[in-house]
Amino acid sequence: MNWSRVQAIMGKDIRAVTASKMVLLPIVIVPLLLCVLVPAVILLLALRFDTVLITGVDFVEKLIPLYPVPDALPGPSDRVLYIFLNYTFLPLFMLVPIMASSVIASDSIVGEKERKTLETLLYTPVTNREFLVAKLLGAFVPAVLVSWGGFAGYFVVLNLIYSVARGMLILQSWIWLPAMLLLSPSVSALGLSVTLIVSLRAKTYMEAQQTAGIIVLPFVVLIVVQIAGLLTFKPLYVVGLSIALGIASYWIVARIAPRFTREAIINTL
Amino acid sequence: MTAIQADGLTKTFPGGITAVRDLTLEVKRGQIFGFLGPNGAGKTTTLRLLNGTLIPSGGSSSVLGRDSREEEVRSRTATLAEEARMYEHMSVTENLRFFARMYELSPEEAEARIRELLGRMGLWDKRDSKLGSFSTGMKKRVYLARTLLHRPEILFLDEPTSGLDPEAALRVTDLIRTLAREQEVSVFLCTHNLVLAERICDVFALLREGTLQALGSKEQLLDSKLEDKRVQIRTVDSTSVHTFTKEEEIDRIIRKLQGKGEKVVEVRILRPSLEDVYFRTVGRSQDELV
Repeated sequence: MNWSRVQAIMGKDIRAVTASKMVLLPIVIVPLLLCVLVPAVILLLALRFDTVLITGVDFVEKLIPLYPVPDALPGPSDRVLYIFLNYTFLPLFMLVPIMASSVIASDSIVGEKERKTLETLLYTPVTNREFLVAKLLGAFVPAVLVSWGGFAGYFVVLNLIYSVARGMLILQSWIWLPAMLLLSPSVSALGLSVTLIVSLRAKTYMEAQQTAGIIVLPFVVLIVVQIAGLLTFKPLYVVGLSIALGIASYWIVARIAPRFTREAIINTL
Repeated sequence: MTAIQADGLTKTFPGGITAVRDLTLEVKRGQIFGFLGPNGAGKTTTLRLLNGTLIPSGGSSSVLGRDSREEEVRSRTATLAEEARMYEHMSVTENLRFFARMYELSPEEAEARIRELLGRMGLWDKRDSKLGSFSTGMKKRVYLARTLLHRPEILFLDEPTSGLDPEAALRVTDLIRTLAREQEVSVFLCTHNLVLAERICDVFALLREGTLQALGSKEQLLDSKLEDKRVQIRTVDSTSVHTFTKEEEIDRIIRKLQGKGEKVVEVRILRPSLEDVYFRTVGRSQDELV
């Protein structure tokens, strides 16, 4: 494996992402909306109206005993807020790495087909393995970094708002540690592996995006299930889910890799 | 010495379409080999088989004594395909530096080579411009510089002048010829541009529907494929073209015209061109074209 070639392809792909508004915008806007703006507005409204909007609602109050909530929190409304911001938002957060990995991989494989630059690359001495590793890492690393960046924004902005209002931090659950270190990378890997399957057939970036977008659905179901109180997220569950998704991604990549040859790719151009 | 060898090379795609059938040919070192045929004849598939991108369904091919599929073949050759492009959001030097890394050139070697090639192509002043801002002709020159970065021993060129105006096409053609002669690079040139091929190629292969129809130098093809030659005879009243196989027949044609009372003022033997051989061998007839 020639790592200089792998690094060069990764660097070139990351530059292509930053040069394309169509690719860059969702990677910037989605984390900004999901991780910072929407939660910040919810928190500000909740603090402004003393969470009258959510307390008193039967199914919401039923969630309180299901989660470990710090005693220092002032009242039931702040406990509901704590649960929402620490636990309910977590699967929503996972849409960021899945979207980012899928968008970057679609652009770096199918987008390159569309721009007719892939053929030139395939005529160089780069091996099938180097090509695949470069394309996988070139999407995986930025996707994880984007989700970490989103979390950093979420952590700083929400804790800042809450600490000004109440003098303490609202985001303090340990669940975020396995979520960021394990779940976020494994979710990125899953998005990536699904995009890899799609990219063997898709001819345009939009086609790849639309098909790979189906992977978001299980996470939407997870959000609904959690809000309904049918599933309570705990750190151990996050670790288990991370391992399961990691294994699933590895299995998909291992199965698709032998088919990811220059002949197979060039035949779809 | 042999640069490229194909023995019974065949390619059938999963859909059952056979694009190349039992192709046998040899390209010698330093030769410019014109691979001619109409669209869909199998030229690009053959090129991709020879440069190791596609795996043959039958037969075999070797490049510089190695199986076409070996990585070393791609390190010692370069391919300039008709549709293949470079990165438009990157500058000329950024593009060339990227491809230099693909060919494992050291940074110093790459910089020296980039300077030399861009100077040669008349693009040194434009080295920091984004490729996307270039005209088609300028882009082709950058693509050609890319193919020459690692001093390849063989160039696979697929329609290198497509999309160029006649002047730019001529410049690229002359550049290929000069480079091939100076650096003793073998060139495998796929094209249906007969003017380009006739201008620079030493040997020609004519392909139709994946099957080799003719192979040889221009003279060999003219001798083998055009048994009847043509003579143009101008009389006071008209001009007519007659076919003949032996030169003695011209005298008989002239006497026949004179017997009809015609006064011959000019006799000109029409020199057959590669185009004549092409249309006779693989091209559609004039009737089909109409």
